[in-house]
Amino acid sequence: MDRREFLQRVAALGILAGAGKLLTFPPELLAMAPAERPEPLLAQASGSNYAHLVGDAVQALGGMKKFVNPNEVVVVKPNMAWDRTPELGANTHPVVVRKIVELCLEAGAKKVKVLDHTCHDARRAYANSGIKAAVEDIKDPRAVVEYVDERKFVEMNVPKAKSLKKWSFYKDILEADRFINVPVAKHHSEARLTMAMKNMMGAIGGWRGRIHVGLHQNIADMNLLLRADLTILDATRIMTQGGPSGGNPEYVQVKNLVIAGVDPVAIDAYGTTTLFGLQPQDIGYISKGYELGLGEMDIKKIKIVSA
Amino acid sequence: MNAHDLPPAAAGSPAPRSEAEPAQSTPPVFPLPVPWRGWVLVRRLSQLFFFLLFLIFFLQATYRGEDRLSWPVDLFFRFDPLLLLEHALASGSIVPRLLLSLFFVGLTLVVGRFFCGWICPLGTTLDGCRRLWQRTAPDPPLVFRLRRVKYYLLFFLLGAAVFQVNLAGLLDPLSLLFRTLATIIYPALSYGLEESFAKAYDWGPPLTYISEPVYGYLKDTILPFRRPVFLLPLLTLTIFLTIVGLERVAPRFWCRCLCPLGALYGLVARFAWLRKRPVKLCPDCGDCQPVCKMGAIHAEEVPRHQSAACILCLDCQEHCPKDRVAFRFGSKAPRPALDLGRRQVITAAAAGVVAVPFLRLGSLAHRPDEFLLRPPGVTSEADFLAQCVRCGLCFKVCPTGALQPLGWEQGLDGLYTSRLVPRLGYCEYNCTLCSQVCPTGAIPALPLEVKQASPMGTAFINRYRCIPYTEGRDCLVCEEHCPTAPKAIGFNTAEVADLHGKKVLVKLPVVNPEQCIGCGICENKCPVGGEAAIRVKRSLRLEM
Repeated sequence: MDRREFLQRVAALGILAGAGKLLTFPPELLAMAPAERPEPLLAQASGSNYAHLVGDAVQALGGMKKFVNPNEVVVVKPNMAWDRTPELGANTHPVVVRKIVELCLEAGAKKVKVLDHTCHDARRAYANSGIKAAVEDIKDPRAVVEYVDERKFVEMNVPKAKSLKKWSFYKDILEADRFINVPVAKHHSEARLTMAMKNMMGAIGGWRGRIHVGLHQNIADMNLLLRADLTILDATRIMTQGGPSGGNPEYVQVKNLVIAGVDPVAIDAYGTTTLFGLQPQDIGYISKGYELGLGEMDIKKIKIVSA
Repeated sequence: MNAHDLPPAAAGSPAPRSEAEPAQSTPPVFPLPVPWRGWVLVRRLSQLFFFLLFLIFFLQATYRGEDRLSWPVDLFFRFDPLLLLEHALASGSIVPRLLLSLFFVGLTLVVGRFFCGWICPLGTTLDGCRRLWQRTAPDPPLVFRLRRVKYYLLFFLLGAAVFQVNLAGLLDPLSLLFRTLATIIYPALSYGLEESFAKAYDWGPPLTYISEPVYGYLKDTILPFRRPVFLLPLLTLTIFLTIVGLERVAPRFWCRCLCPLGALYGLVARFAWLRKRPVKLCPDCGDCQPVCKMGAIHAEEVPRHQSAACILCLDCQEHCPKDRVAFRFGSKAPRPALDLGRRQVITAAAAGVVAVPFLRLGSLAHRPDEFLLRPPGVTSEADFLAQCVRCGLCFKVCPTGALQPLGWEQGLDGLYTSRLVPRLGYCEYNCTLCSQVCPTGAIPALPLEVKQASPMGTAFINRYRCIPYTEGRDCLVCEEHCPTAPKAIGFNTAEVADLHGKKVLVKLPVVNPEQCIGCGICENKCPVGGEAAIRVKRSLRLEM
């Protein structure tokens, strides 16, 4: 290859790359379609076999096939933010996550990505939460546990937001065909409780500490963009104090419950009353989420089916 | 070869290479066999092998999903008798795992300074860098005079160590190379690669069809999980480039003239059993003299081979046009004197002793530095300074990048020792990696439960910066991340005037010093920019 030829090839490649760039979509188009107000229908399963609980709760909602179509890319987002072992209740139980991934695979998903933007070192949190090992143990190449890639945070405008009008969100979650939120029910010092809506903190980037000023509105705002197709609340054991990081097994109460539904506000409202004995209006982001039309917070209007 | 470089006797035999002129004395005659020619290749392979091993161990010094490292990543430091000796003098105890270096001392007594020529990764680095330019000029005479400097440095270090000032790590070649790799070369490499692939990622397809698989592969193999950033990059770079640049003055300048580990091995190698034959430079040839990159065939009236300087590179054997040079055991030929007088040795050691108060004054004046935090488990500043070899293994292994080299804040005494800088990283509550890799135990290897209860400092809240105190709005990021149970950071709900003067109820964080271990995660995560509103101070429970 002489110099002229080399330069020609470089130029051709450059034009190709430029054309490729033009073909990619602007990030705003990737955002999930804002759903109409979801149906406040929750399924609750109780028992000590956590895998069965998940299966039963999802079945009561119509089965995973209702939420995941064949050949779809699914992102499963547990709470695995902390370098804590499962018995400390700071992260979603690995058995719960594993079962959900298995259900997605059975429904024919092309790929199931499990990820979370952690608080502690991601490698330590993924390992000690037990979730990485549990999902990899399925030994299905379609199921992957991925670390967050900083390059994939995209700046997004949040229409209708009252406070968080612009922030960076994780592209893989926005782009996924299906998004399943798998929070754990915990005490949280500032927000009081963390369940479905608060779990979206692990789907955003930026300097997340800054979000904690005006936290409740910010949580409600980010849920405008981050709409899960299905939320499965892990209340097999709940952390009642010392949250969100905990660290003492005495803070943990065994509840043996899994609650599933499409309406994140309803899940949070129901969890607040049944699990923690508080009122939904005590939790700022529940009221603010309700005001934004994200879901139902009136317990009387939430329908519960027991699996 | 310049005639004026040689002592008078050698200079008196002009152009010894010339075949036409008869030799002034009888050339030595040696029996066969001719030595095997492949030894230089074996030596080069050995250098390459140990250099790659050094790099592999470097890359392995990181969290890989297990709480305990399975690789002995500090292995090279166990080859280092200088660290053993300095530690023994400075802290009065022997580090068992460094006793492996005695094996190397024993081997040196048999074959000479093979470590420098066959193993030392800094030596290999210098050999490699030297190939970047063509060097033909003969060694300046100054180099031969400066040779003794390394012995002076060694005795200076040992003298200071007797009074608990352990500066070995500043000049130890393994420490120097490892911390240079850890704090500048590897971070610069990963920064460059990450930025390039990020650029390719931004451009998108079709470039990413190629760049992303390559990036994924590199991320799995050599790139760090999180991009490392370290303090003091310019100083570290300057020191390293100076050492490399001295190769232009003479090959292996560092090893010949400055390296204290080379000096220590040289002192042992002086009595090495394996020696070059012929010991004296042949009067009819002398070709091996300019070939020797250590200038080991020098000194005295008739240049003799000095086993204290020889690093067994075997270049002389390779280049001998007459097949005379060989390395043989048990030569009875008289050994050349070490160019080192008893008086100079005593002076150097005494200088080390005398330097102690001056060095210490620098650090003592700054001792109550309230933001100087040491790695977890360190309880006494004096003990830590006596033991830290400034190798940088803890910098490399720390998963959050919290451990950083200390600058001049504590004087030379503290330069490059390990400190915790919470704004750059925090101490992971469940992690003990730094104590596992520390070659001398300066960071004590404590059980996890003990480490979790050992305070590095105590957090305090600056109420003039903290958001709830100043703006009347909730925050509590520090409390949320506090890893102890019960949390060392709690909060009081109290009435505060907000930005409009309205009284509002907010959660005001407070620190319970009895619970706080100073891990620094609060300072690291504090959303107040610049100086955090919560900072970790040296604990009152620690000696200043």
